[in-house]
Amino acid sequence: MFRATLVLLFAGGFGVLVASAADPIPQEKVWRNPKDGMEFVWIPAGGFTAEVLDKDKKPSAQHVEFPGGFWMGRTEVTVKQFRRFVEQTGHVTEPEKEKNRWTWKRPWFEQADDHPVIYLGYSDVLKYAEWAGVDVPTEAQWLYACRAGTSTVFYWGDTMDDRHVWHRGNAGDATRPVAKKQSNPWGLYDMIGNAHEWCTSGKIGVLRGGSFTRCDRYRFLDGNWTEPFIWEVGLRLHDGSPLTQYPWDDDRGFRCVKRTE
Amino acid sequence: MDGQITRREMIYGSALVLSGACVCQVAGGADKPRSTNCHAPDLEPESLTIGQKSLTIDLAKAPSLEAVGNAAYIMDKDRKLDIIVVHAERDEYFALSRFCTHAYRPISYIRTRKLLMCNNASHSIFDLTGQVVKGPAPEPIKSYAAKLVAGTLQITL
Repeated sequence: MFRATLVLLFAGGFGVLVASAADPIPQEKVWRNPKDGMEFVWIPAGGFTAEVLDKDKKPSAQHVEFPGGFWMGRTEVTVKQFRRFVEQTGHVTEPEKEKNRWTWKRPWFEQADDHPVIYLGYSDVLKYAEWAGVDVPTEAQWLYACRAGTSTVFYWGDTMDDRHVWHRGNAGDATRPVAKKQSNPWGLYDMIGNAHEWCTSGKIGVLRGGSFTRCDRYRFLDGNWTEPFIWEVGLRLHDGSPLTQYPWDDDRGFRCVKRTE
Repeated sequence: MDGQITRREMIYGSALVLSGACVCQVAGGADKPRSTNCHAPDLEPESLTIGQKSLTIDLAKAPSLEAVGNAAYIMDKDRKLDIIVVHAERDEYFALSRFCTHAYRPISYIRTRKLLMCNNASHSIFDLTGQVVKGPAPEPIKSYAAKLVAGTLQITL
């Protein structure tokens, strides 16, 4: 009897744990894109105050509002989804055209079908979105969705938490399958970490969210410790100057938003 | 008695678990400084002798470098020393500048690949001789000759 009670208690506890670790999203709150099978979750109406730089690079506050809400891809676009796009369109990515040593087909580490696709330029993600009938999120949309109505540095709190992020310290040296960490309150996975995500800022692409190559923390030159993911989710919007970072790399992926009708 | 654990079995079992934990603790050196993919501990200063154009590390006094796969930083502002020492294989050590030539951020040792990675977003990657493997780093990082001599590592600056 005692043993049976223990088993029941254990099973009950496990049930609670499972429910809290991966809360099922009500089906009416999920839209599946028939083109690539990507699930989108509803991002409710609202806004946030961003920081923008003026012509003289002086920061000022600017409220950004999304009055109608929007749908955003629950995960980063995967290798499998991107392969379907290439098979149907014959698309050749920027790194392939430039004869880069590594490409999404041949990354420098092993990737399974459920990993985020990487080694993409901004033009590649625009082409994918066009094929899938969706859009690449604007930087403001991405930030708003990432924060999910929270006011802390990260959507879970103010300091790094391994339960939410694949970073260099816990992912090792490669991407990981999507949606294995806890989602944000609106059901989005890997908004921070795993792959960097291309977003649109005016006419250019910018990267947000950090990746598995980012350190969770490291000691800076002055001896102080820093948590670089804080910069990846900072509220300052890109000022429109061209991205000077390495254009395609082993950690540059993306997710999509549904087109507004 | 079938299916039940006796008192004696319980005591033996507990002893086995405890002794196993102790062995793991000793073998794994749980209290020894260990480098990660983002950070290396400071080399124990008592292990280091700094000469005019050389460094000597007494490895017996450097637990941070004991395990293969570990790395340690040597930082001395007065002497302008900023070096990462890597224990890559048994009896094989490397010494390099600990700064990336792209963003001038610290580099860390990725033991699973035996490569060094810059800690900034562009994460340039270098091999253990300092050559650029990938990323935007414009030039190799400086490497220093490191020779093992009777339990010491002698680094030529």
